[in-house]
Amino acid sequence: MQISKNLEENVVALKEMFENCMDIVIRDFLVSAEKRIFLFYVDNMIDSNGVREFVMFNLMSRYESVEISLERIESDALAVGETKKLFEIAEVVAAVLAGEVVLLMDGDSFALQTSLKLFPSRGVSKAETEVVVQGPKDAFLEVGAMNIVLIRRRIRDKNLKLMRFQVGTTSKTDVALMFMENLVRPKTLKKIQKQLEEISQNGIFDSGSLEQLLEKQWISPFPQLQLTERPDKASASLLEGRVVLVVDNTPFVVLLPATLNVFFQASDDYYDRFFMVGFVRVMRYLAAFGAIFLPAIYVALAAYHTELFPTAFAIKIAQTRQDIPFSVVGEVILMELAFELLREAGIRLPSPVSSTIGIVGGIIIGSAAVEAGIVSPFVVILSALTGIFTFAIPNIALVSALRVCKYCTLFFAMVLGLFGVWLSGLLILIHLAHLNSYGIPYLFPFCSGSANQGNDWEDSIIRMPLQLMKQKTIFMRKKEKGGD
Amino acid sequence: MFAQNQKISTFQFQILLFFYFLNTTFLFLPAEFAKLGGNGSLFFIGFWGLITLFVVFLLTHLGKQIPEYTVVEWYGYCFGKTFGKIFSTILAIILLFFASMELRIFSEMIIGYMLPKTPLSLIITLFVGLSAYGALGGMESAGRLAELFVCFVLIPFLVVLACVTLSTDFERIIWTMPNLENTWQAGVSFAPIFQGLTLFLFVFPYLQKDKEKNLRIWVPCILFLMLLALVLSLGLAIFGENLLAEKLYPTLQILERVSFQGIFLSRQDVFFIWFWFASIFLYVSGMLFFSSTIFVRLSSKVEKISRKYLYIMSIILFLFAYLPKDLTMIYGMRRFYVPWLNGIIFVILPLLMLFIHTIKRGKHHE
Repeated sequence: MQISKNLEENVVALKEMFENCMDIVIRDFLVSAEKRIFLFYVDNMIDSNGVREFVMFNLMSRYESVEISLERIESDALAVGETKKLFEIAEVVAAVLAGEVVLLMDGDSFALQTSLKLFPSRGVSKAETEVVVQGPKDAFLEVGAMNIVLIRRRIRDKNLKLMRFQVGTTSKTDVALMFMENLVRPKTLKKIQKQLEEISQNGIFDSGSLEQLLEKQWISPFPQLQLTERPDKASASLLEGRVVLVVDNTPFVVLLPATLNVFFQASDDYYDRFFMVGFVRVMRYLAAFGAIFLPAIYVALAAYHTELFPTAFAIKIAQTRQDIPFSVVGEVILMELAFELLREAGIRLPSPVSSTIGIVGGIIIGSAAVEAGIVSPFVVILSALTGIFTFAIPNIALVSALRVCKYCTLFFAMVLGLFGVWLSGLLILIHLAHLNSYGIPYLFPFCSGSANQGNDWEDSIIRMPLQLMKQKTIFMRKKEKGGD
Repeated sequence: MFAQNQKISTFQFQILLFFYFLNTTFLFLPAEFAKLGGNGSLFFIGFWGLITLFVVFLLTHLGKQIPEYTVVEWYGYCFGKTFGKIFSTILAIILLFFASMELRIFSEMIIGYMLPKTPLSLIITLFVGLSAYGALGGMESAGRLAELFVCFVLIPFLVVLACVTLSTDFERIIWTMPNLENTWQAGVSFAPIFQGLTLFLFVFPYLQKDKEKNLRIWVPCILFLMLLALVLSLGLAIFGENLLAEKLYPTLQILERVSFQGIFLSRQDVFFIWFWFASIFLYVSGMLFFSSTIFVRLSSKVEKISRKYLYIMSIILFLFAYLPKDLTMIYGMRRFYVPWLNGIIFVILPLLMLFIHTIKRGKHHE
C-alpha cells in the first residue's frame, strides 16, 4: 500500500498494523499552526534524547508560519546523519520494527526515516570461548552495528565492503556481509549472496543457525563454516580473502569458507614466536588424534589384542582391573559418559560453581570411583586425558565433531577391535575427503595443496615466521595470487 | 571450483598408482619368487618389471591419444557400439573379480591375524560398505585419500623398511642366476601386480587439464619395483632362500624385525597390516568406482557416480568375494585366470586399439 498525501489515512493504516503493539510509540505534534507530524518508533530501541533534541525540538521551534514539507524538514531541520524516504506503508512498518524513527506529515506522499537507533547493549567485553594469553581481549557483542565498527577499526581500507541482508521471513534479522573486494573470490561471494537470499526459515536468532543453513553437507558433524567472537580473527580472515557474516543479536560472526586447518588456528598463534606456535600446533593435531582414538585404541587392545601389550604392562592392567565389575568397554563408556555429563553441567552452571564441579567431578568422584572398585585408574586417566585433548583444540564446533567421532571409533573398537579402529579411522578420513566448503576441499592444504602452489602450508601444521609468509591463501581470488 | 571438478593432480595420480600396485601380492611375492628362483629371484623382478614398464608406457601412449576417453569410449570407438558395450560390461565384471580376490585374501588375513571369531561375511560387508562410501566421492576423493596416505601409510612404511634395511646384513645373499624356465611361472605370480594398471584405463579424463602431458609415470613404477626388489633382498638376507620360500606373509615378517618392545607394544605386525588395509581399500574402492563408471558411461555421458550402479556393483563384489569356498580356491583362480585376463586387458586389447586408432587417424588425414 502506497503512502497517501492524506495523513489521517496513513495513520489509520499504521495504527491498524500496530494494534496491540504497546511498545510502539506514536507521537503527534504541530510543527506550525496547521501542519501536524506523526512520529513512529519502538520504545527503548531508539535514542529518546536524540528524538527530543534533534527531531522534536528542532521541528517545534523552527517553523511557525512558513509553508513546510518533509523535503524541507530533511534538508534544514533534522540534525540526524542518516535519512531515507519511504513510499510504502509496509516499508514504514519494517523500518519502525528495525528500530528507526519514521516521520509522517500531512500533504506528503512519503515518510521520512531517520536513524536514531540505540539498542540495549552490554558493552564490549572479554572473549569467553576463544581466550588468548597475548593479544587483544575484546570480543563481539550482540549489536551487529557495533561488531561492524570493531572490524572497521582494524581494517581501514576502502576495499572493505559491506552488504546488508535481512534473513528470516519473520525475524528479519540483519546480516551484514563483509569482504575485501580486491581479495574475495567473486564466485564464493555470489554463492553466499544467493544462499542468504534463499533462506526461508522463520527466525534466525544466532549465527549458529545461519551456519547450519549455509552448510552444504549439513549432515556432517564437522563444521564447514567457522564461528568466532574475536574481532581480530574476523579481520584477519577478511585479509585472507574470506567472507564475514555479522549477524545481529549474536556475539558470534560467521567466517567462510572454512577448511579443517583453520579450526586449529588460534588468534595468538600470530602474536607469538613461530617456534612455540609450531610446537603448539603439532600438539593440537596430536591432541585431536588422541581425542578421537585414545579410548578406542585402549578398548581394542585391552579387550581384543592383549597380546600386543608388553607383558609387564598387561599384568599391570590386569591387576588394576581385578575387582572391577564391568568389562573394559563398559568401564570406558561409563567414564566417558560421566565426563560428558560433567562437561554439560559445567557449562550450564554459573562460572564460579562450574569450576568447582570440574574439580569435584574430576578429582573427588574419580578417585572415589577407583577406590570403590567401579573403574580402574587407567580408565580414569584415559578419560581425563581425552578430555584434556579436547580442551587443547581452539574451536568448540570442531571439539563437538571430535566427540562424535570418538564415540564412533569407540563403537567400532568394541565390535571389531583394532580392525574397527582402522575402519572408523578410514571412515572419518573418507568423510573428510568428501567435504568441501564453497568449492575448497575441507582437507586443504593437506590434500590438493598444489592447487595454490603449496602456499597454504606456511600456516598449517606449523606456522612459518611472519617474514617468510606470502599470505596468498586459497581463499583469495586468482589475480591476488600473482596471476596463477 | 576445483573441489568439485572431479579431477586429480599428477601427484595424486602417481600416489594412487603406487597404492594400486601395493596389493596383497606384495605380501607373499618374495616367498613365491624365492621358491622359483632362490637367490637369483631378483632377475624375475627385473624382467617382469621391465614388462610392466613397457605396458605402462603403452597404456599412457594410448591414453594420451584421446585424453577425454576412458576405456569404455575406446572400446566403442575401436570395436563398434555393440562390441564396445559387450567388452565394457565384461571388463566391469573382471574388475570386480580382481577386487573380490584382493578383498577375500585381505579379509581372511584380518580373521587370521586379528579377529578369529568374527564371521567372514561381516568383515567383507564392512569393507565393501567402506569402499562404496569411498567410491561415492569419485576420483577426486580417491586422489585426496591417496595424498593423505602418503603421510599415514607410505612414510611409516618406508621408515620401517629403512630401519630393517639398516639392520640387515646383505652379505649373506649369494647372488646367482635363477632357472630361466621358471620365468613364466614367476610372471603368473607377478600378474596380480598388473591389476594396478586398471587406473590407466580410466584415469585420463580425470586428470587436470594439460597435466596428462607430463605424468612422470616412471616415478611410482620405479619406486614400487625398487621396493619390491628391496623386500625380496631383505627376505633373502634375513631368512635365506629356503626359509623365505616357506613363509606365509614374508613381507610382514620382514617388517617385524624392527620392534619397539621396550617402549610400548610387544607385537608390531598387527599394526603393519594397516599399510595394506589402506592400499586395498583404495584399490577396491577404485574398482567399484570404475565398474560403476562403465555403466554410467554406457548409459549416458554423465560424469558423476551413480548410486544405483554403485549399489549393484557392491552387491556383486560382495558375492564374488564371499562365495569362493576357501583361500585355496581364490589362489587357484588367481593363478589360472589373472595372467590371461591381464594379458588381454592390458596388452592385447590396448595394442589392438592403438593399431585401429592409427589406421583410423591415417584415413582421416587422407
